[in-house]
Amino acid sequence: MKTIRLILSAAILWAFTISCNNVIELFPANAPDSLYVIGCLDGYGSVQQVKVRKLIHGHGDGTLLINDPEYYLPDSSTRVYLQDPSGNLTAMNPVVYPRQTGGVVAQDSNVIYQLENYPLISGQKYTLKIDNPAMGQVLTSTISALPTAEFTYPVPASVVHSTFRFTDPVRPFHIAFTPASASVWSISLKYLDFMANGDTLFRKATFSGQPNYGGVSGREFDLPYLFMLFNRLIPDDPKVDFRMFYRFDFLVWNRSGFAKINGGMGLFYAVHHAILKNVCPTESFNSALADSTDTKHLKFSPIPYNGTFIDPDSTLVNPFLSILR
Amino acid sequence: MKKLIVIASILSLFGNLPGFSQTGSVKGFVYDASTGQPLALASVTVEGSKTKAVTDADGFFMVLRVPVGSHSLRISYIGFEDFNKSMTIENQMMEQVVAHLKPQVVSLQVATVNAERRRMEHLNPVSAHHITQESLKSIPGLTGQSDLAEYLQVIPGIIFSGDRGGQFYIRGGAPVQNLVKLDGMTVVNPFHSVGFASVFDTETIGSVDVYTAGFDSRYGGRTSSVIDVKTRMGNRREFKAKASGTTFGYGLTVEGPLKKMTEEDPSSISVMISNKGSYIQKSAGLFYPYLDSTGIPFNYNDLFGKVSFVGRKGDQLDLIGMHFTDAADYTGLMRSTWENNGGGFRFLVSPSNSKLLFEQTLFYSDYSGTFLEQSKRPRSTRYNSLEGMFKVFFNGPLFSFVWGTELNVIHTLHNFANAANLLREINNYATELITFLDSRIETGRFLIEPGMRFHYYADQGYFAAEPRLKVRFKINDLLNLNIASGLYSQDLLSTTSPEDVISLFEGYYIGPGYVQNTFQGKYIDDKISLAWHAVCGLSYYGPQNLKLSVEGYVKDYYRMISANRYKLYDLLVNANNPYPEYLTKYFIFEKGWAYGIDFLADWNTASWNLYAAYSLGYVTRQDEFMDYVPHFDRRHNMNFVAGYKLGHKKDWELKARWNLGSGFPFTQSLGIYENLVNNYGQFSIDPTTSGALGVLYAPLNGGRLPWYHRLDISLQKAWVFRKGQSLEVTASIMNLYNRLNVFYVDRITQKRINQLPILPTLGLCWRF
Repeated sequence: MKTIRLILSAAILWAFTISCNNVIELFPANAPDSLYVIGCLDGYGSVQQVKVRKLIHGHGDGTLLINDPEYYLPDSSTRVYLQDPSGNLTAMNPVVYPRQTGGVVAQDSNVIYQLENYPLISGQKYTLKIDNPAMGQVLTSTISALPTAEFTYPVPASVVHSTFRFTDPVRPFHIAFTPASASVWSISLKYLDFMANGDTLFRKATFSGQPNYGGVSGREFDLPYLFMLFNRLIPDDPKVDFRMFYRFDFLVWNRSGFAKINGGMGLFYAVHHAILKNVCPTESFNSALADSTDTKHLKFSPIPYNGTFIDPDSTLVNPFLSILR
Repeated sequence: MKKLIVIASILSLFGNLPGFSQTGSVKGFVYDASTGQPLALASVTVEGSKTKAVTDADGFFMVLRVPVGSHSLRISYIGFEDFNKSMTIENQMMEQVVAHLKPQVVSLQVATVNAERRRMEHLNPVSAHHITQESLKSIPGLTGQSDLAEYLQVIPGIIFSGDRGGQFYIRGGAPVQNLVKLDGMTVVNPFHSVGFASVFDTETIGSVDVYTAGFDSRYGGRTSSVIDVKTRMGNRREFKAKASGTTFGYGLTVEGPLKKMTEEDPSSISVMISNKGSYIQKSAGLFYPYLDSTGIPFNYNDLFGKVSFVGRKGDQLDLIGMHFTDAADYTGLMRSTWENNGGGFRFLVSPSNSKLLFEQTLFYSDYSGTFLEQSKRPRSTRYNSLEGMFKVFFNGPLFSFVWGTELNVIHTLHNFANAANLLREINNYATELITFLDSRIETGRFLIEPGMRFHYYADQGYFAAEPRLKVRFKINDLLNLNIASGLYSQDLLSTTSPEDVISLFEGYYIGPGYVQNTFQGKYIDDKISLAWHAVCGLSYYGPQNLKLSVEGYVKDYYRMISANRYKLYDLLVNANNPYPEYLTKYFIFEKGWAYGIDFLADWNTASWNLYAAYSLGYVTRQDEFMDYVPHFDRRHNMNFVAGYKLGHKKDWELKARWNLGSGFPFTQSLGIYENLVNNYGQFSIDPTTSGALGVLYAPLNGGRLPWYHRLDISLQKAWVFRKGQSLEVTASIMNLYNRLNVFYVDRITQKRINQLPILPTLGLCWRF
């Protein structure tokens, strides 16, 4: 009996002892400081930018730490280089951009390593090199510049203010584009809201979709699919008297595969994009949009708008933003 | 001789045997005379007959091969007066008896202990836990009365993940791998969002059988475990009611006879209606102002009804209906709601002169749930099924069997946003055809229960042949060696990932689509989960009501289907889909093991009830790329329950429960970074762009949370008045020493949200 009591006492003591600790080790013990890199070589323009930051694994509120330069910026010894296909190494310049708007991360010390007037040669290899002597880290990564992105259908020259048969049930309107490792296409619906109070508002709503539908770099737009997008993107608004549809914009944004970051972590890749603007549907599309039970509630007129359209979204000049919307 | 009896029992099904003397049989039902409830495991003997019988869960018995002539029938049950009846047995005739046993004045504890002893003598306890209302009441109750969800937590091998959104993981199985039946009807989500409440009202429960592994062939369609809840009939003698209220919620049960049973006419119509619900979301602010702003945002309401028709000869028809609802509302963050409606009937009949008992059940149930989150599109799910089952029972002296056939039509519907944030709707129908045979042979020291289940999944054209076997070997009068083994299959899938620590939403899906086709280089045509169980243990039921058991188990989940943690892209319909399956399919194949050893000690005296359970368990999983442990791989789990009756009338009762569990695995964070990647793997480094915060994860479930422990106590005082009225006052304290057990940690803000803190409750229960 004595032995049993002894064992029981020891078991209870053991249970209490091991269960006292109530600390959660959210990060693995001895996790080293690390740099991460987000680098993008853009074949569409001639400005190349690379963001270099420190991975935060300290204890505290991450939303505060991510905006504290001590936690997110690598020290001043950091150097970033881009090596062209001929082996020439060019130092990228740290540029402090204004504090970002929106989003969660809006850093004051928004340092971007940048090279201006640095056009890329399609298919050629470029190497990124990041050297941080203080942390003893050297990161390298190599990527090939992407060929020009383009639509293979419709032919761009035929698009602007041309009409396309969106209501064709046999062969609906479709887009096709040069394939890449990854692509995003987007469609923008441009229309006008005629408000009950007399105001007229120019509107644009954008939807981004995946490529490679059915193994093809492209997408078909039959009427039910388009109407689904209208319903998804355009809200019912009792203050709207009626609406008029204007045009579609299409965009495709190609990206290479992510290159391996030697000696560190992050993303490094090449991009290119193309835009088809002001694709015009036939009038039968507008009639269907106005009369269909699926879209009647959106109050579209059967008559399309053919006047001057003022793009309400200044970010149209920056295709990346329309993709990310 | 016993072998001869077994053979004779089997052959007697086909009529009287040539060469045997002239015999007849006796069959019938045994009930509690005070309430009309059936009495299971009552002992039935016929003077002059060499065979005995015991009653089954419906109180049914049959004594075969009784020599022709006058005999005395005796039925005995601990806590009841013996029932004696003289009868004349005629050749090849079946005498039918309906016996009502009058209760004796004996303590509930003595009756319970003796019932348990009979159970241990008669049944194989391997991986089986029989729960009665009395055992449910041995746990400190926090919702005014002890709940099945609280009792399950102390069963060895069952892991419970916490008070908020807690789930049960039974010997390495996820909730979707656990079959829950209510009077034969499948209940897909039997537990409320608040972890200590099930949909079952303790007051209505007749018994609960929990099989943590190695269950027999009458159960199937799940690969881990079974919880079989059987409700009792409403009182057939008199109207009774119970009303209770606590700081958490309320309960109301009304029952009674529409047609009363009498000594002369045992037929009856009884009804039982139960409603329980919570108002804790509203009352938390009043009673527990120290809680954080989320409070206890859980609401539920359960309505259950049962009408039972019992004939003069014990034939029985039960009509059952249920309506269960649940809501968890973390305002501004997420809202989860579900409801479960269902109903059907169970018909039990033993035709005159038949040696068989027939049971027909037909149930329809409809479960639907929605889940709203702050930044995602709504998700919803529906599981509705029509289940019909026909069973035939033969309850011979040393040989008995159950043969059954079952037809299930199941529909699942799952709405969710796909990778392109567009709503998708997956609608599936499945038909299952099943036939099974469970048999039971007692010979010498052995109790052998072989079974076979044939389960045809028509939607997949897959035919599963599942042998099952349970054996009990009586080492001596106190000690048994028990083993069980079997094959199990499952079609139903859950969209809940095993990695989700908090899973208030479970999307159901049945069918072969959306599942990976190849696994580890092999093409798998049948999208069915498969498992094999083996259990071996010793059980001891000694003097002074000491019950000890030790069991080792292995579950080989050699083919599992789980939610795909690697999915990046939407599933494309075209076969030329360029992405690999592990990036597009909603479900992937896995395999894994669960093994461990469970210890149980239970000791009851007139004043004391002591219970201790310890489980050592290991759970592993292997997918296409790695080995890992799921988040419910709790290595050590201990439960200590103590009850002590005080006062000269023993009308005070102090109860305590302490649970200690080692930390759950979780995935640690490597760090926080600015994530500029959108859903499609694209990003912008435009300096004007402001990204979201992302988390870089360490290897899956590589870390461990701190140990979980909690002490609950309750003190109850009962006053018994005239005419069966009573009043119980219960004061409980949950988490007595205010242990801050973790609920979850926001990886970005590192804010820690804990499980419920110390919660005192006060409850009143009035029976009249």
